[in-house]
Parts: sequence; C-alpha cells; structure tokens
Amino acid sequence: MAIFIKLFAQFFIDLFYFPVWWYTLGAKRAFLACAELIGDANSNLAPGLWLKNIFVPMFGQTDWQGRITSFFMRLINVIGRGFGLLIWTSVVWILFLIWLVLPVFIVFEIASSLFLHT
Amino acid sequence: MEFVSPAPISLIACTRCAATGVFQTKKCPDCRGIGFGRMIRGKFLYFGETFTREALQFRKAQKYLYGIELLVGVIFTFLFFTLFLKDLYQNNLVADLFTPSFWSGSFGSTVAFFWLGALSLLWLLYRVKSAKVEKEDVEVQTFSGSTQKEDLEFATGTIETFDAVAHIPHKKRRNIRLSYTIEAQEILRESFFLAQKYKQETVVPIHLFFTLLSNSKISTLFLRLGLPAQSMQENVAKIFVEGAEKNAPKLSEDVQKIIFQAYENAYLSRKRFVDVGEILEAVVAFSHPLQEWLYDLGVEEQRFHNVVEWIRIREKMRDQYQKFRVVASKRSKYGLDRAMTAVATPYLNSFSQDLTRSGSLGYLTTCVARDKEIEEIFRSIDAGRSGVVLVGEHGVGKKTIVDGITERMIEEAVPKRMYDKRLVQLSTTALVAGVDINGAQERLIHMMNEIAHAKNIILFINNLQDLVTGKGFDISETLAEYLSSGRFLIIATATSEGYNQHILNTSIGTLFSRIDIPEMEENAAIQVVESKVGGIEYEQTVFFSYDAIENCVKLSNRFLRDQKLPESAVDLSTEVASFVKSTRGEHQLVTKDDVAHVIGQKTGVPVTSITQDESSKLLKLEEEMHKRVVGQSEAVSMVANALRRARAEIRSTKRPIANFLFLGPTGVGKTELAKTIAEVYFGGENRMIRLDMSEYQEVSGIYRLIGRPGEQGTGSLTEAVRQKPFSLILLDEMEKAHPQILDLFLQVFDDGRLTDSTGRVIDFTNTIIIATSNAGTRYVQEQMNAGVGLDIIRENLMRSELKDHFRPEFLNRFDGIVLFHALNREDTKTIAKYMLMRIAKDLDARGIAFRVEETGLEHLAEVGFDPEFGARPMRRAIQDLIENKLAEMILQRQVDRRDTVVLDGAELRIEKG
Repeated sequence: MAIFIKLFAQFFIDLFYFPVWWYTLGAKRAFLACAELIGDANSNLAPGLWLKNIFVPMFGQTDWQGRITSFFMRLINVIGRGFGLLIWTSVVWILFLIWLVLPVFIVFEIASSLFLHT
Repeated sequence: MEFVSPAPISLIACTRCAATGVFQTKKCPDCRGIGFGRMIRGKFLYFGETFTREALQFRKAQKYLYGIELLVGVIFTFLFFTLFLKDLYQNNLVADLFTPSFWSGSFGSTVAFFWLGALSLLWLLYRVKSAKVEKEDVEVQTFSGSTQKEDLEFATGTIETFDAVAHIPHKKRRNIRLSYTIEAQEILRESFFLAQKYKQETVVPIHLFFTLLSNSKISTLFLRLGLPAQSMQENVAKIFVEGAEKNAPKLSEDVQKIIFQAYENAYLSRKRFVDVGEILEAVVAFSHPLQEWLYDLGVEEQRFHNVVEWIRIREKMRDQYQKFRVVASKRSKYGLDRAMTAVATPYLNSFSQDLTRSGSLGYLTTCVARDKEIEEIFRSIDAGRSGVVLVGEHGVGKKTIVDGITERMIEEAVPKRMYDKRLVQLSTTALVAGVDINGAQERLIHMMNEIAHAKNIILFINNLQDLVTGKGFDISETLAEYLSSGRFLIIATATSEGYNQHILNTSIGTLFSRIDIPEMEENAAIQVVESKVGGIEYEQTVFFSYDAIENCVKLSNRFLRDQKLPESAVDLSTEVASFVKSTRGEHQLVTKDDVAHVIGQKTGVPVTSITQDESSKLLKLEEEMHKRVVGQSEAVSMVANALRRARAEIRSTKRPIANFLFLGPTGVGKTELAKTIAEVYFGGENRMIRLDMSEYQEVSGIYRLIGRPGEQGTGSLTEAVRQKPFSLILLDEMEKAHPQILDLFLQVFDDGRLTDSTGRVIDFTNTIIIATSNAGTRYVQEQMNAGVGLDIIRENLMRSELKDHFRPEFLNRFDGIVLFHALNREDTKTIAKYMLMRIAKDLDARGIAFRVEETGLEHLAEVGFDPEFGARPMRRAIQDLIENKLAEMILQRQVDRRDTVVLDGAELRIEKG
C-alpha cells in the first residue's frame, strides 16, 4: 500500500518537476552539450594550434620564400578559422538560448491564444 | 580443486544499518546511506544502491510508472495535434497557416491546441532525457610502467570507520554502480528478490549464480562449454530450501566483496563497464562449493577463465572498434598533422604503405594476448633505442604485434616519442625491384633523407633478413649509418634463422635492440582463436564450442608442427568450420571430435575418442594379431600392451609410441609381426616405413637418412616420417648399420625427434619403431633348447652376446627386447594352413574350390619343416608341390569352373563338379 502512495507521489513529481528540471539539470546538460559542440569545432578548426605554430614553416620548407608564404598562409588561416569558430559559437549560443526560452515561449503562446483572443 | 583466490578485499560495512544504508526507514546516520565500501587507489568506492525490500520494489515499480508516463505523454501530444488539425480542416484554415494573423488572430482555441501539443511534446522530451542516468567508465590503467603491486599497496589505506569516510572529499569518492551495465545491476537486484522469495536471511553467492544462469550471455557461455544452463539451474535450485526469515534478506559479506571484485575484474581487463561476465567470475572466485561443482562438470579454472575471456574479447573488440572509429576519424587522412607542420614524403610513399592510415580506415588485425611483448617493445623505445627488431619464427604473429602497435599509436597509448607519428611499412620488394644493389642503396638513401626531413615517420621493415642476406645483397651498411645518427626510429621483424645468420654479429645487430617473440603459449593461442572465431562462425554459419577451440590449439600444437601457433590453430579452425558445414549443414555446433576428425584426416593419426568397437578390438588385440602371426605369444603380448597404452593415451608423449628390438632366427615372423602391427594399428600395411640397415654400413649413409646438408626434403627417413608422422618404422638387420648411424637413433628413442639436414625438427612421437636383428640367434637357440628361462637369456644377451653388435646405451633405450623362438612342427603346420587359405582365395576367384585333407597337410609339414630356416622352407614347399602343379593344371585347362582341387597326401586330385 505504501508503495502505491509513493508511486502516486512520484507521478505528480514527474509531472510537475518539468520546469524545475528544465532550468537546472536540463539546462546544465544542454550547456555541456553545447560546450562539447564548440569543443569539437575547436579541435577540428584548431585556430589556436595554427597560432601557436605561426612561425613554423609549413611542409618543412625552411627557405626564406617558404617562410614568408607560410607566415601569411598561417595568418590567414588563423583569422579565417578563428572567425569560423566565432560564427559557430554564436550559432551554438543561440541554440542554448532557444533551450532556455522555449518553454516560456510556449506557455506564453498558450495563455495568449486562450485568454486574449477568444 | 581450488581456483586461485583473488587479492583480498578489505571492506568496511556499517554495523548500525547492516550495510543497507537505511536505518528505521531513514538514511542511516552512521554511514550516511553508503552502507559498505572500500578504499583503493586513493579513492573510496561504494555501490550506490539501497538493498532493502522497499527500495528495490519501488525501483521496480518506478520502471512501470515510467512506461505509463510516456504513454500518457504520447497520447496527449497526439490528442492535441489531432484536435489542432481537425480544427484546421473543419474551418478551412490550412491556407492561412503561414500568415501571422492566424497566429495572433481570433482562432485562439485552434492555435492553443497547437501550442498545447508542443508543450506536451516538450514534456516528453524532458521526461525521456531526465530518465537517462549518466554512466561512468571504469577507472583506466595507464601506461606508466607501474605494476599491480603499487596499486595493491594503496588498497589497505587507513579507513577504519565511516567517520573517516565523511572526511573524504566527494571528488575522491566513486559510485561504482554507475560503471555497472543495467543488466549487471539487474542481476544484483533479482538475486535479492530470489533470496527474499526463499525467506533467506542473507543473499549469498549461490543466489547470484542462479540469477546469472537466466542471463542470455551467461547461458551462451555455458553452452559453449557444453553445459545447458537450464539443467544447471534445476540442479542449483535443489539447494534452495525455504527459510523462516520474515524480514528482507541482507547482503552477505561474500556478496559485498563480489560486487567490488567484479569491478576489479573490469579494471584489470581494461573494460569500460562492469558486465555480467565480471560478476560471474567474481561469484565463482568467492564460492568454493561452486568451484567444486564446476570441476565435477569438467570445468576447471583455466577453461573457465578462457571462456569468460572469450566473451570479454568479443565485447572489447566491438567496443574498441567503435571507440577506435571515433578517434581514427579525427586523424588526418593525408599523412599530415593538423597544423600541417609535417613534410610530405612523396618518394617514400611510392615505396611504402602507411600503416597508421590503413589503421584509421579499419584495415588492421586485432592483436590479442601480446600485451607483455608490446610493453617490452615500448620500454625499449622509451629508453631511447633507435631500432627494435622482433625476432621469431614464421607464423608466431610478429606482423600482428606491429598491427597492435599501430592501433595503440592511433589511440595514443604509446610512449611520448611515438605520439602523432606515421608508421610506414617499407616494401622490400618495391625497394629492390628492377635495380641492382647500388640502385637499391641509392633509393634507400633518398628515402632516409626524406624521413629525416619529415621528422614524423617511424619506419617498419618486415622480414629484415631479406635485405641483409649478404649473398651479394646487403644494404645493412647504409641502414647502420642512418640508425647510428639516432634521429630515426625503425621497427623491424626477422626470423630467428635469418637474424642469427645475417644480422647478429653485424653493425646492424648492435644498433637494433632485439626482442624475442616466442611461439604463443596454448592459452594465449586459445584467446587468439577466440578472437578470430567470430568471423569464421559468421562466414560458415556454424557455432563453436569452447572445447573445439581448445582442441584446435592443442592438436595443432601436437601434430601440425610445420606451422607455429597461433597460425596453425587459426587455419585449422577455419578448415574444421567448413568441414562441419559441408557434412552436417548450417547452424551446427562444432565439437572437439570434429576437430579430432579433421586432424585425423590430415595426419592419419587417430585422435578421435575411442569408440565402443575400437575398445573391444583393442582389448582383443592378441587374438587379432594371432590371425596372421603364428606362435610367438610373448612378442605379440608385449606389442599388444604397448598399443593399448598408446591408444588409451597413458604414455609419455615425448617419446615414440614404442620401440622394440626383435631378435630371432630368420623366417620366424619378425617382419610378419611388424606388418600385422601396421595393419591393425595404423590401418594398413602401407603405413610402414621400411629401411634395410644393411644399406647403411658406411658413415655417409647418414646423409641418405637425414638429407644432404642445406637441401630440404632429401632425407629418406626424415621425409617419410614428416609426411606420414603416424607410421611404423621397420629397421631390418639393425646390426649391420654403422655404429655412428645407430647413435642417430639414440635421440629418436629418447626424445622422439630428429633434426634433418636443414635444421627442421621431425616429430617421431607418433611412430612405433621396430628393429630386427639376427644377432645372437645361435646363443638364444642353444639356451632355449637347454630350457633356460627367457628372462635369463635376455639378461645374458644384453650383458655379453649383443655387446659385440650394439652399445649398452642403445640397447637400454628399447621398450622391450623380444625374443622370437624357432618354429616347431605344429606352428609350421598352422602357417601352411594360412598360406593354403590364400591359395584357396585365389582359386575361389576363378570359381574353383580348394580342399586340403589332413594327409596333405601332414605331407607338407614333413617336407616344409626346417627349424633352422623357419617358415620359408614351407613357402618353397608349397610353391614346388602345389602352386607349380596348379599353374600347369590351369594352363592345360584340366580344371574348370565348379571343379574342386583336393590336396591328398602328396597328390593333387581334381574332383569334377
């Protein structure tokens, strides 16, 4: 018997815990997932790595022409990759914001469509 | 028979709540709900599950509740969206769907349905995501050179009570339940319910075992051992007696330890999660009665571990493959590192194959059971050596080890020196194709320069001895020059022979650090076959029992000595699989007898289990043999005993099956007995290798026996035994051979092997060797006539008479010196009878009957008996008296079909039929 009471309680908790979870644990998980997306992009694009190696000649070409070309190539790559990373980060940020805003938005729409427009 | 006990586990268990974590329905204040745990490797481990009736039942019920909630969520979502769509179509609003006025206009209720549907969808998302529990990997053993001992020293720790536990920071605590698979967790919970069902006081290992047997992975495991899980469960259930405990059972100390031991097992085998296999291992390790029972069922420790390991290997392979693909996909496909600092190596690329690249694409062989060797190689590299050469025979798995190294390079589980490098295999054929030695050296120099420039290449040369054969082709000097600069790292393989001949004492030899790769132990080979068997099972749609795999390894180790383990075992298992498929069809179980059958076909050695017919035949061996050999009962009985011993496998397998020396006068049946043995035991008279030792009276005869030096396959004895390892070897007239040739046989008799002229070891352990000799016959005859006992005669022979011909250490090595006595009249008559039977058979083929009267037989006995010359005079007599006459009769057409020829006295009559 005690179990059924507990289960019932559990059911209600599961039902209404929704917003709590969404903005605590859920938000944390969403945040971590977004961070992972950015991290993956960083390891793929690796602007930092290119910056670190900015003076290292590409393909081992150590003559002065090679060095100059390498430097400029690397510079452009750092800028381009950095920029790409920035764009991606913004996209991911927006996704995260959507996560935060979505429930509120939906509830608002429900309320407005039911009470304001009937 | 006890299994090896695992390292002791010191747990602390809370006394107030009896390790449940719950005291009077609330969290236990002493242990704060932890219950029991242990300190190891600087961390506090505990199992985060409350083992009380209420908690576990609630957990079970929660699962159902979850299902209901999901169902409700889906229904509501469906409902709302359906209502929304219904409204849309009813009010003809589809066209307005994308106008903003629709969404903020007067269709409030319709729009509300849409948003309500969206909300319940979102709720579903929340419910599903919140139910997913984060898993934690098992701790990982890293390559740091530390040994298990250090870890164990951490284990004792200084934690005595739960008060101390409270001071441990959360970061240093680990809930190992998060590393258990759901299946494994369920096993523990179900065992609790089982114990409860039987009203037991404690949950003991046997409850865990019973529950495990219901698990499909475990029942498959036992099926592979030939034990059906269901009948095992029935047997175990017999022990369960209903108890009288009203309260819920508690976890016994053994079970608590098992929970942690399972985790340790996963840690030590480098698995990511604790699964049912680990629990099974732990359960068996902690329960002596279970070990005894399994032993009675034929499962002793090594077999048990190998089967559990099999499951682990398959899972690890699957797991690693997935993990590997992820890591590999991140590696550059073009041989450059991510910052493009490396140099392209076009020249090298045209003569080589990039192993790390093929590895990333999944083309490597999984390397199993070679961890020790790989560790040794890494230690050498870590220590700064520029070159490592793996030395071993063909087929021991040197290239596979390099594949294993490649895999680890991709995973970066290697010494720092090997990080972020390409492993490139030089193609020796491409190197030398179309050029002479100078051309090849030039190419090599060019390549080495490119490698030095690129700085991220590790070169791999397979079969290094091919490049340094010294027969006018030697690039070793060039290699040595580059190696000694210390800027390179080269891994190479070589055969032992090649290494010793061409590399050992050269400049290359000192620069390469030598790592011996021995032939695999049987257990390691079993693991290798286990790892390959999955693919074979899939291709041939058969199912291997563990016994079959074990037998593949054992029998190929014993009988297929031309190849080394594990290659021989893997090839054999492929053959057996296709054999079973072609004879018994698909989805059949491959048993150890199938393996024995295939080996029997290949080598002619009967290794299948002895059948009923055969055992009765073996017991009546003397009778069988006397059908061909007359008299000589001592000889026959000695030989029959040796054969019985051999077939029942009560003999040392490091010697030939038996060696005998047959002494006796001429024509009494020495060779006949040998032929009989060949037919009865080896299955045919042609399974006899016959050497006439009078041809080997000079020392040079050795080369005819073992072959000319350097040439394979030219020794008459060694080749014959190599091709038919299961035969009878008959050495006629042994006393005539040169003494040095006799010495050759000393090691054959003792160790069962002989080395031929090219250094190959020929296995004699499946032969019977019979040497015959006429030496000392006269002496034996005299003594026998004087009535001296056989044993005494034999003694004296060995001490004095035979010493003129054979050395004592030679005589000593015979299993038996068999004295053949001269034939008496009765024996000769019987022999005559046998010979006549053969004539009768010949005549019968022509439709002519043959009858011998007693008088005829007597006459023959008179004429053909000569004690000094044995049975041969009888043959001559029959030839003269009977065969000649018969031939005449037939040619003159005096005899026809249905006639009978009768031997009466000295005459041959014809009775017309």
